[in-house]
Amino acid sequence: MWLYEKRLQYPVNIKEPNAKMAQFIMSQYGGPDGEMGASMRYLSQRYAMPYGEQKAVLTDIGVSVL
Amino acid sequence: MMAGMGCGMGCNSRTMTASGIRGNMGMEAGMEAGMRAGMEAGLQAALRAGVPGEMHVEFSGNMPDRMPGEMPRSMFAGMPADSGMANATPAAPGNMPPSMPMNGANAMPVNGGVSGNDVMPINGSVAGSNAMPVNSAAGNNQMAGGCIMRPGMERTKAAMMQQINEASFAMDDVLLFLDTHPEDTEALNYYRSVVNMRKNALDAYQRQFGPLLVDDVTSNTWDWVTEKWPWEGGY
Repeated sequence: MWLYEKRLQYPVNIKEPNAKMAQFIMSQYGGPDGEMGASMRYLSQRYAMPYGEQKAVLTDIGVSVL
Repeated sequence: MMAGMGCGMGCNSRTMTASGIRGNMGMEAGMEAGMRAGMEAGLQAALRAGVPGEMHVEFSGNMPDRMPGEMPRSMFAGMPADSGMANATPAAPGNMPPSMPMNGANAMPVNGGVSGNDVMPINGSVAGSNAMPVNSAAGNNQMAGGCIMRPGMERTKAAMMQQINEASFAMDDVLLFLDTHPEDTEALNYYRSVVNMRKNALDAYQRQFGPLLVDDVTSNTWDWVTEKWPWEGGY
């Protein structure tokens, strides 16, 4: 389950708008090789993982990517 | 990208690649030139060759420049020298480095093992300045929660938020280590100490500046919606 914390993990300070950069960043979130896809892969692959440690790793990495 | 950091250490193949842009960017002329110039070098090449001076997204403020407490010695034992982790922790086994390499020239953990690729794709400059981005401070000294901002308070607020960030980073880090080393008592003790640190830092901040977690709304009004959001000049 996703829990929101009202803070950024890393401080961001956008000096000026840049549509091209924004588009690129969006693709890194949701594109074919994006964070969202990676997260979902980690979180679904863990169901087939036989080892406890690795189930935990897949869960925690999947969550952090999300 | 809630915690790109944790993931960046483990999976370098998912750093920004040329194919990633190609799939999505609609091939603007500048970018395309960049692609031709150096597919393998990925975004780096695209940035240098194609769109010089156009990428202005900048991360400023600071990452923790001092880790809370001392990392357990065992966390660094047997780590291959050329792994991404080794890049992220350049100091000798034992203490964490007193300051993390935060200028653009040094590899962020995110960029870990990508060989010959020592600049983060999207940070123009990561300033090591001690001030968090506090663009909300000037001109608006009335906080939404009704608390009057006194001079110097923004500084305190930033410092308190920094403590949260440091403790949270340390917790995320040791958590991944513990996943694969569940019997390591030293790491477990470290985990306990940073969890405690994070809890205290969160409590202290939230008492003064409003809720960061939706289950910690304590005021008589729903200040979850009145306090600033991160993209509005909050943190």
